[in-house]
Amino acid sequence: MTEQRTLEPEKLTKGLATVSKPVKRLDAEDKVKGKPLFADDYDRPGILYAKQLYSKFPHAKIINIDITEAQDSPGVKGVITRDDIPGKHTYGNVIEDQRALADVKVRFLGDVVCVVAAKTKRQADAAVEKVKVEYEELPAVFDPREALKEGAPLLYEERKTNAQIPQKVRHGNVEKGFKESDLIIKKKFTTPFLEHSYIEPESAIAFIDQQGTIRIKGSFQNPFTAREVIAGFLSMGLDKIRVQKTVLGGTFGGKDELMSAIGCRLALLSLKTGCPVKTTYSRENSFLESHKRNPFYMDYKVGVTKDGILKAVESDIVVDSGVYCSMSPYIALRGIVQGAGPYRVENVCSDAVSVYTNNPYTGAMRGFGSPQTNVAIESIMDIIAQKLDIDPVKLRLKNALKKGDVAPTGQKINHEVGLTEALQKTAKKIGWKKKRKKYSKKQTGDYRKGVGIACCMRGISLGAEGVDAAAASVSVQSDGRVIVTTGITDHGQGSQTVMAQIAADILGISIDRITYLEPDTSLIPDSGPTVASRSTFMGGNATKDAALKVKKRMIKIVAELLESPEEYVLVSGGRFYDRKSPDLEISFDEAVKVCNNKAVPLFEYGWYSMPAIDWDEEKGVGEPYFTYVYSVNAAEVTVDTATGKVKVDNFVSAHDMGRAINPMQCYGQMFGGAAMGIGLALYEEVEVVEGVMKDRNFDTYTLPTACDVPDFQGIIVERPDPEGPFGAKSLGEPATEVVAPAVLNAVAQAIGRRIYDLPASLERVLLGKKLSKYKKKKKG
Amino acid sequence: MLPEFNLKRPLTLNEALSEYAAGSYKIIAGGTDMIVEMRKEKSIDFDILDISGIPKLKSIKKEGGKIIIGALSTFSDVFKNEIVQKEVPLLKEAVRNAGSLQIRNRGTIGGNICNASPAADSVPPLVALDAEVNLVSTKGQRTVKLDEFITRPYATNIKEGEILKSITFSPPVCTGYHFYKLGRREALAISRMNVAVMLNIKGGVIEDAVISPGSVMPFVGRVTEAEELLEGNKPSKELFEKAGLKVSGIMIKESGIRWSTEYKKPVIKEMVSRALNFAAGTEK
Repeated sequence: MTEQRTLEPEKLTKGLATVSKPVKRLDAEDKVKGKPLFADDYDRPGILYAKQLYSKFPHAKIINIDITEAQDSPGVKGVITRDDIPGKHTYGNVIEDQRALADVKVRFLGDVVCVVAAKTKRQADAAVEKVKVEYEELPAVFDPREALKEGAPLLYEERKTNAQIPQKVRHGNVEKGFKESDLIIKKKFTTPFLEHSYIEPESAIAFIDQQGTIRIKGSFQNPFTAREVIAGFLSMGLDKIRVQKTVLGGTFGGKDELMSAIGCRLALLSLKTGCPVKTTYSRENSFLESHKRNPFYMDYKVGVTKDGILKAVESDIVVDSGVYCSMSPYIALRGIVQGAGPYRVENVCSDAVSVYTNNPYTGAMRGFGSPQTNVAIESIMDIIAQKLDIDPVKLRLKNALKKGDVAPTGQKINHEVGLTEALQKTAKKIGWKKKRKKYSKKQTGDYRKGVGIACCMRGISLGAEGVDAAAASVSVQSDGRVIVTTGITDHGQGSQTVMAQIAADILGISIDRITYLEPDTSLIPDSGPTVASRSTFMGGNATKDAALKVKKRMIKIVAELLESPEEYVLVSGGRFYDRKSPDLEISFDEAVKVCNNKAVPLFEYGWYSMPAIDWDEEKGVGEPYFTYVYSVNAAEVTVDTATGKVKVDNFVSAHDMGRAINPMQCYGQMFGGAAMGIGLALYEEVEVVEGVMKDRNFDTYTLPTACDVPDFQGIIVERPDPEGPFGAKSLGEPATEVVAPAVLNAVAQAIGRRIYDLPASLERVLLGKKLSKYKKKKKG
Repeated sequence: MLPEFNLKRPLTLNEALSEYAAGSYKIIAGGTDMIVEMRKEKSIDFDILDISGIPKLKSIKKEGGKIIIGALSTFSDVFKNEIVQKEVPLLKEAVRNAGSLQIRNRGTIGGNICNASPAADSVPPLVALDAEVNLVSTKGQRTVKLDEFITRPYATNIKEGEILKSITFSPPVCTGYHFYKLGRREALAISRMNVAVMLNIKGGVIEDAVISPGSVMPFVGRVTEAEELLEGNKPSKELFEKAGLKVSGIMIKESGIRWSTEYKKPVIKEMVSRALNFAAGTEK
């Protein structure tokens, strides 16, 4: 692992003890020792185990559910079906179409018809088999392009169409743009279903406490969302549902809607039986029922002058949403908003529509639509470079956004943009000039090499996707130690360490004085979901707000004590002092005592809401995100042209993330994100044939291993954002969303042929097409 | 969830044989295939005879000029064994990347053979070595050639009451060898195809050639037609390419055109040719 960092002399972090430093993660030692308790580690006396019954058909009417035999089965304490739901049957962030228990229809093989709770797992397994469900099979549709056609089977008859909410971006006039172009490239691209592949499968336990509150502990990525869904399902107040996330073994956007459904089922079973109820999914069921990364079917048309100036980008995208809407329309939106690249493109016309099919449902997964469209636009950039005989890095530099430019959505870029620097540094680091030239010459032998680059911009946080605010609390204890909480959950990305660093530096104390508590929905205000790479920016700003309020109060007291003006009083290294006469000082602990004696409250809630954005969904114009992260990735590969095997030899990941609060964790994000992106490029696909999922475990779903990825190199570029905590923006998703096109561009140089459909498997690289052992049924 | 089952764990071979003859058992050694498969079943109608506690079946030794590998030797045991390392490095190379480290520590050579997966990494080298399997039951013993023992994918001609005791073969006489495994990734990969080759080159002429592919033919066995093409000739890239082409042709003749043929046809040719070049030191 090598690192390169460019730190301009920066007032913002001068004299700070922890921010900008590779502070050790708060949870590192415990995790290495295997101490954390994951959801499945929790137990309670009198516990029952839940087991769910899945649909038998990809699309069918439920005529009858007979649970009598299951109810009488040994050990069974409770059985729930659609008839037992006390409140709302449906939930969903965009369209309320999802059900914890199937209603009149099942729409895919992962729909749950019934759940039983029994004293042992084995009894639950046996009982669920005794539920008798009578179905009437319905015609199904598995291709979103087919699903859009007139007369296709409808998933939701009342909607009259399988299309969800069409999204668009309009900027300038593409017709004019194409007229001004000397070269027009038209290409189609596809990406498959992908599994999040968190190491910990879904797990939760529900019980009722002495106050009658339903408590649910589990592997929740978004506890506040789950609480709302569960409260609606049970028709209970939000105050009576308390969701606590346990230590998460990864999520990547995956432990969201399914965890809400699991929470509903366990809570209802717990209410019905009066017993604690728990479930932990097998890997096979986790694959079956959880959502996937959306397959994208992309038609792109890009116009460029002979000098390589982008003139127009037109795209038409169909997104497979599967049976539920989930976040698909917003995934489609992000896909097209970022789908013209981080370039000055004056004319853009992009349409994307997510479509219901009887496939597994799809939704949020690290990147959220942009990993797919980045493959298209960044592949086309290389096609243009080749046709115009311009170096791919130079072509990107020519078009790269700079401060003052207008982005492809029509948004004026008023912030500092580190894209050019990131491009130059990445090229230098991977040895671009020499290698690109060398590999362009005719290569002989089976093993061919190539080097590829790709870049992107990423709108930070939710932007046009929703209301965006977060809370934090900072409480200084009487001994000078501090408890920090935010409504942001740590999935393993290390957010708790970042929050602690921010609080420590604002309060001028060392980080080991801080204890970070993970959120509990009853103890911290709703801070929205922990998604969209928003932890550092939103949670960090809320923490900053809370800590500043406490600090201000302490400074007032200290100023009185030191007889110094308040504006002269600073705190760092565990002491308050007068910056004009530094001998005038008082330790942080003393100051706490004084405040306590004066009954000054040393706790505060912090709150941060995102600056206003301006997106017109109808017209497809405006400012969809408040600001952007700029990322550049480069890959060097060796392709065995006799077997189609691709080896990534070198990989450089560079990001203008505003400010690296914790550089070590930033490298962690970059390298993990790169591994995930290499999976998208070369290895991963959940094969779904006629609605049947063929890959349901990691034997056939091929993730890259440590042996399949190179020694990653990371570059931190810092253009601090005035709004971010210490200038920080975000990194989680940028780290993975532009990996695949860099790899594919390198492969294209190596073999002189381009892969348009992912993943670039052995067969695709060798033959240019996929081979499948699964045959599709003949129509009719 | 793993279905409920009855388990017997005998500690001697005799105990195992009489128990096996008396009951309705399936045998597990390391369990790395069968336990995984059993998770797919709701219930099973057999008992499990876990023979992993029989120390006698775990040894690797050389007797009367022959190498005898106890059926319960794990991949890791084989990999670390001095006799194997010294006298049959081909086998060592083949087990090096079988499954994962955990699987190599539990999975046994005997289990790998009896499971008879076409992708089994230990089988092609053992077939290349003309290995024989020694089977024992309460009724007696028999020895069968490995390529006759495995009859087709996931099937052997093991008889009721028989336990695979050991695998025997003579140390090979060869000047070069290679095991080529092609997986979808570098570790934890199931062989897409593999091939074990051995060459004995004397005075610049190939005296003996052995080509034993896995996941290529509908049976396990050497590809004698391709071997014959090599024998008596001088090693050269062109010759090895011809041998690869031969194996590829025979694959299609034996397996017919399947979904994967379009890929396997050119690739097995190249794998065989590469493996032979490695073995001959004419590395390409």
